[in-house]
Amino acid sequence: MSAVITVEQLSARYNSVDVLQEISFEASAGDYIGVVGPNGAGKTTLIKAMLGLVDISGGSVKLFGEKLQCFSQWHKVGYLPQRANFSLLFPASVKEIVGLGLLTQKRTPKRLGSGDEALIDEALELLGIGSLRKKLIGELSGGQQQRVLLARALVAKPEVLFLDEPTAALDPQIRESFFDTIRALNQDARVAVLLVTHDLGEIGQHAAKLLYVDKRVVFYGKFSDFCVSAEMTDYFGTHSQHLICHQHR
Amino acid sequence: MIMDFLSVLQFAFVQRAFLGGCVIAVLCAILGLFLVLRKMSLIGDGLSHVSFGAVALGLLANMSPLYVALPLVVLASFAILKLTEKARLYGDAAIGIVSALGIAGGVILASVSRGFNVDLFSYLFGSILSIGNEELVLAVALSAVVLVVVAVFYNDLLAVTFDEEYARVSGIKTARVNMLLMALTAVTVVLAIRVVGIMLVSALLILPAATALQLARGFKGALLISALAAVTAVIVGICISIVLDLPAGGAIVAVNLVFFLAALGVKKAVG
Repeated sequence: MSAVITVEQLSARYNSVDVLQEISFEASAGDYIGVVGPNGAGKTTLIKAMLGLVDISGGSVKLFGEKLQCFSQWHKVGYLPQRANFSLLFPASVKEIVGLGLLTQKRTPKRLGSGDEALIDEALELLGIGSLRKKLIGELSGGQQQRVLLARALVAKPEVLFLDEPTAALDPQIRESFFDTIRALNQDARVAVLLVTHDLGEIGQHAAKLLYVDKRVVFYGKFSDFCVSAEMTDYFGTHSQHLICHQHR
Repeated sequence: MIMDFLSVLQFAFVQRAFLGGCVIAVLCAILGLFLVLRKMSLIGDGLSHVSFGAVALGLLANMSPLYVALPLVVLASFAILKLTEKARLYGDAAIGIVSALGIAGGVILASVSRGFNVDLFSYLFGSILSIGNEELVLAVALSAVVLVVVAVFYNDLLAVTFDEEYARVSGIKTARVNMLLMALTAVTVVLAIRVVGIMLVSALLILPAATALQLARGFKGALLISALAAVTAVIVGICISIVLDLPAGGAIVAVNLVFFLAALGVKKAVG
């Protein structure tokens, strides 16, 4: 099976401090990987480095077998950032924002056609926010904004999804529905998912694999292997390992 | 009085003022919206201050100030961008540095020449009613170029303005789009100096956009409202200036301010 993501010896520095040290792992189509670790472990930096959003000091990243520096198939990549970085005054409607997710497939001048309207509606319906399409983004609650940004990430039907703390602004009911959507995409469409979270217990319910990062890779493998690993028992202690694993299904 | 006013409208210099002013107002309104939303509103101020130095240089060298200012202000806009990226400065500090350099250069050149202070004054406060045929043709041609470029790169500009990081993940060359926005803004600022003057250029960039942000229900709607407000303000402002014998630049900015306050009132009343 060809790799969707190949990370080899990836290192990153910020203000002369090592943020990531020689990270290596591979992800394939259909993988659902929970990226976890303590605060300041470099989880968000790792996601951004894989997307070319931060400079790396060593190693390499390949997406779909192509070096990141040469990568051009951005329509295969969906990204939901940790914090939405936009002004609440922004006068764009939900439809316009979600449409931005389709620009990856367009050549200049990038114009959206009637077929694109249908894709936008489909993404909005998938996330249960079809009724919000004409609303301005600044008029929505934090949870609704998060779903709009997820719709933007999904509208081009990506083959890999990078989700950085996607449920932080969602209430428990919406969180459940959010995870159901991601699970369906992962299982039915074999979309590879990398989901960053600080909630080790929750991710165990959803992800099949665990990438535990603390500037370096502490563990990468199946959740079930993590839960019986003596090495991880030594690292985390029996109690913590049990807490991480008790919700895994 | 109405007949007097209508007869004034038949003068070629008044017609040139209306045409040039409206075209430049549309440019300012459209680019202003992108700049305001990117929290770069004061770049208009910074670049107009650079224009001050460039105009002084043009007058000193006995060349058309417009032709001297265009390349220099475009270069200054790239310098602001590079300072922000490479010198790890926030945008306002980078604008401040380049702006101060422009003013300092202008003051020194004005002091050295001792002869063109009156001409420089007309650039400081604008003189749309004295715009010549050659300037009008240049303004219309450059405006057409800017509008076509904005139309072609509309979605790239929108994506980068909304969320630059995500735009990069969409495969958009954000550095190029930023340079494009800077260059277009620089050209627009130089053209707008004729309408309202160096001191008031930023008002022409900010006020129509601020008006649109009170009323718009979508980004294209915001661009349309911004452009309509700006064009109307130029027409009404020039008319007021003719009837009341006031400076056109000041009148245009005052009308823009009234529109903004009215939009604010409408927004409060409606919602």
